[in-house]
Amino acid sequence: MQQGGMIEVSGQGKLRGTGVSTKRLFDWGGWKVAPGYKIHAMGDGGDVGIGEWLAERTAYASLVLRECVEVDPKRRGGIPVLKGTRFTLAQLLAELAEGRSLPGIAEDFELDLQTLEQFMRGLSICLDRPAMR
Amino acid sequence: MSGPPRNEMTIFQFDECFNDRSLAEDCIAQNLAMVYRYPRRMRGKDDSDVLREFMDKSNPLVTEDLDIVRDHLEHMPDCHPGVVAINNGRGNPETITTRIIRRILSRFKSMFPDWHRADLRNTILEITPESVELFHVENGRLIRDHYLPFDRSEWNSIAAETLARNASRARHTEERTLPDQKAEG
Repeated sequence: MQQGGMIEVSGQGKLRGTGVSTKRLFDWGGWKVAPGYKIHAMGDGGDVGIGEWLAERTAYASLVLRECVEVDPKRRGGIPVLKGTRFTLAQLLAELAEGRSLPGIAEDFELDLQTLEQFMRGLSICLDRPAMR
Repeated sequence: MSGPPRNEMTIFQFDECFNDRSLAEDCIAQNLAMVYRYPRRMRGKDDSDVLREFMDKSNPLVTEDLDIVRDHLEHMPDCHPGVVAINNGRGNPETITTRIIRRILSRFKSMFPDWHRADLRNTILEITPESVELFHVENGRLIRDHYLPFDRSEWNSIAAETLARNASRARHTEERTLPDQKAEG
């Protein structure tokens, strides 16, 4: 299994240079990759397959987000909020889109900056993935 | 629920989702109304707790949550200090931000210059970029008073009359309930 380098998906749905079917690997990770898509495999010493890597990232992102996101129908009608607050994550992203900074938002809304940063990290991990099924 | 005397400055209570310091500072700088920022002890409270806490006080609650009243009518008394919900409206997919709130409020205030003198008691006032909608609560039911698009002529006088009528609803209720309370006392 290749690791730590670029893996390209061939037109036949195989990891180029390995002959390994992407279906087996990516079904495990919950992902589907289009032919021609290139992915970095980031092994960390052991034999880490792409599917395993993606699954690990997904699990890690879930753990990170679980620490800073809450979804509770009793609060803001179930819109995802920053943990321990009534401040929606949608608003956080919209405020950022308007050019406000994380520290500025934390200060103005009296929110915990570390929790905001953690959310952004978790979100970045979630989005750092190949095309979804 | 008596509310502040009408010759006094209204003190609005910000919900946590509306708790932007810069917004509070803007409001205070205009010197027409005061604000209480969201208390730390209430952080992350459920919608029903927020209503229980603030509907029992004298300060109109300002929120961006259009559904807080609709979803929790069982916690809405008929007489309350008022709820002002500022949002993009249900037809607009854009997420609300402080900048959008400023824009909505600025437009509303320019067309309704006596906003700071309005008696908001017992009214749920929804303000969007295009309209205001007024409701009151009767026996746990949300009653829609008016939907008033800003392009409707006289919308602001209709809104003012409705606000006054809803506020007087409190006085009528108090007058009705006072003798009973005295009797119990």
